[in-house]
Amino acid sequence: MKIKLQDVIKLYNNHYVAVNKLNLDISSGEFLVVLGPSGSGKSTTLNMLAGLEIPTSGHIFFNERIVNNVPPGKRDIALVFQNYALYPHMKSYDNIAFPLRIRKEKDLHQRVIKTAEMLGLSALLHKYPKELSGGERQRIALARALVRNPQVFLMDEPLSNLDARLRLSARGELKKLQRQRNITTIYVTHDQTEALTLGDRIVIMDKGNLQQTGTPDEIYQKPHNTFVASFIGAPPMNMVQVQKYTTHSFILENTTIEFPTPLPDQTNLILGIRPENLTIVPADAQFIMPCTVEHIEYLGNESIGHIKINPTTIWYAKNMGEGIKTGGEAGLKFSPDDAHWFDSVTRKRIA
Amino acid sequence: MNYYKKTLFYLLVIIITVWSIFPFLWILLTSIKPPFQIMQLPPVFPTTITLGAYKNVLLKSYFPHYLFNSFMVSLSTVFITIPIALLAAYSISRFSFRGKTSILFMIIILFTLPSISLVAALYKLFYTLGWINLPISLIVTYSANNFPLAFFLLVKYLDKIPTDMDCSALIDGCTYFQAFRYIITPLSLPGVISAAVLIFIFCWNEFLFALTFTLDESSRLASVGIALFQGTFEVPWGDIAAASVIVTLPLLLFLLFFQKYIVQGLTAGALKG
Repeated sequence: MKIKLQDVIKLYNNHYVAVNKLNLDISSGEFLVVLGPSGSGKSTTLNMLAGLEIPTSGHIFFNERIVNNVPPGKRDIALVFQNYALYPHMKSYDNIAFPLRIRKEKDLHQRVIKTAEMLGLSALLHKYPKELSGGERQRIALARALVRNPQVFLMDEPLSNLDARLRLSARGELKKLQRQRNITTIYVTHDQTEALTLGDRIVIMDKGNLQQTGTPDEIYQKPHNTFVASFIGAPPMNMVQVQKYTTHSFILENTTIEFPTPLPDQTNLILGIRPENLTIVPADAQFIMPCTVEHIEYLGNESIGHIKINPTTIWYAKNMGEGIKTGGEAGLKFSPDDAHWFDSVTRKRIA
Repeated sequence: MNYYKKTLFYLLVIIITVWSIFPFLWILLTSIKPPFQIMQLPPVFPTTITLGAYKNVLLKSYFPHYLFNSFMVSLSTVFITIPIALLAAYSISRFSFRGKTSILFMIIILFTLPSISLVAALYKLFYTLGWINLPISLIVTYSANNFPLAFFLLVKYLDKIPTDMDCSALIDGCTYFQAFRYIITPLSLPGVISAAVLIFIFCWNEFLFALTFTLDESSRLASVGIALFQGTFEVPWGDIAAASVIVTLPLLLFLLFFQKYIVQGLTAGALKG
């Protein structure tokens, strides 16, 4: 099933804009991740797709049909909730069977058993949800969603209640399952790792507005604006406001810095560089920007340097030369190609 | 809690318990005392136990019939009030609609209205309808009177059930009514039971309306029956005490049986699940 959102607006109490003029095309079988902080309108979008909320204006198409007012049960969708929303008074078997039972569908028993086997749940069918672990509940919720072979699979942060180790394996299983079944999937999360690893495409939202749509690689390599740049990547992209001085230099807090390549044609700029592209070098080596090292965080396989490039701005760098010490003067080296430039007023990327 | 605080706490609990239970114990003693010891001053602890009063009440009076009346009226009230209150509570807890605030306001007014202010008007009404001496007059009055209590208890209980349950049911293909029937009703069972038991107790204990609307012995309730035991020349304290004990027993059994649900239902929302 392909899905299309056309100028979808959702207002609460007639004035609070939860989703603002959202346009999206989701192709059949696609795994789309909607990523955003809380209050970004991502869950509202999901609820409108599910039919739990009705758009204030605009249209939602499932294939060619407008479904704005179609009740959730008639949309041929399944939704996995963040807290799984298993029915506590029913055993696992009845939880999985419920969607079939309420629709009076055939082969109920075989289908429940088959789905349970596929997810490795056969031994848990006679247990109540409260007797299950978080991971088991999550899989029961998945089974309940899958048992009906829905056309669209909606997920609302389904992994956020699992512990870190379980989340990693659940992510793998989820992606495998979606590929096998080839169901159109819309997955809402605030976790960038889930978005980057699961999504065929990522939609980033903030305050009800669409910020960027693209493959994980596009989003990471070419963020459209400073919000996307700071939301994707851990630690986030380093950014600082600078003034262009000449074509090959800019001013950062009273210091003029020579830059090897020509700067964009604009006076007020924001320079962004990802921590993984930055190298801290000793003060006597060749570098682009001076800095002081505040603190070095040791993480086993890597270290993250916390550095001050001016009295108020702390940057993070993942690469370090020899002999870098906390508290000392140092320099920052990076390839000019790795620099991202944004307009300091519109906060949009300058190509 | 340190030692002194603990002692003080238990001391208070004991005092309150004794304070509340003493009248009942007194009644219990009175019911098994031989008649000549009942009014004796200073009071004495009975040396011989007699069940004469119980025999009088259960075999020689209309009291069993009153008990039956009380039981039927209370049970009917519960079966009328609870379903209506549950449906009302569901709609208030789950939907927003025009006039919701004013409906809630009216229910609160109904809750705070003193019974005594209604008696005369209701008597006139039932007299016109020809319902005086019929149990229906009491069932109707009790249902309306107890509705706010059941309603507020159930709203509080339903608010505790996450709306994800409803959403999930809708997505699984339920209509709103099916979601209510298959998911919400079973989940609100502890709340329903506690509300039902409380309403039953209130009806069982009610006196004012019962005294006013049912004048006949055939339709009299146990609470009124006890009060009207006294004859013209003497007050049969032993029989009254025995009847009081008998009338309390069903409630005690109820409370013991449903204790778990009642506490769960009443503390809904007080603690995080």
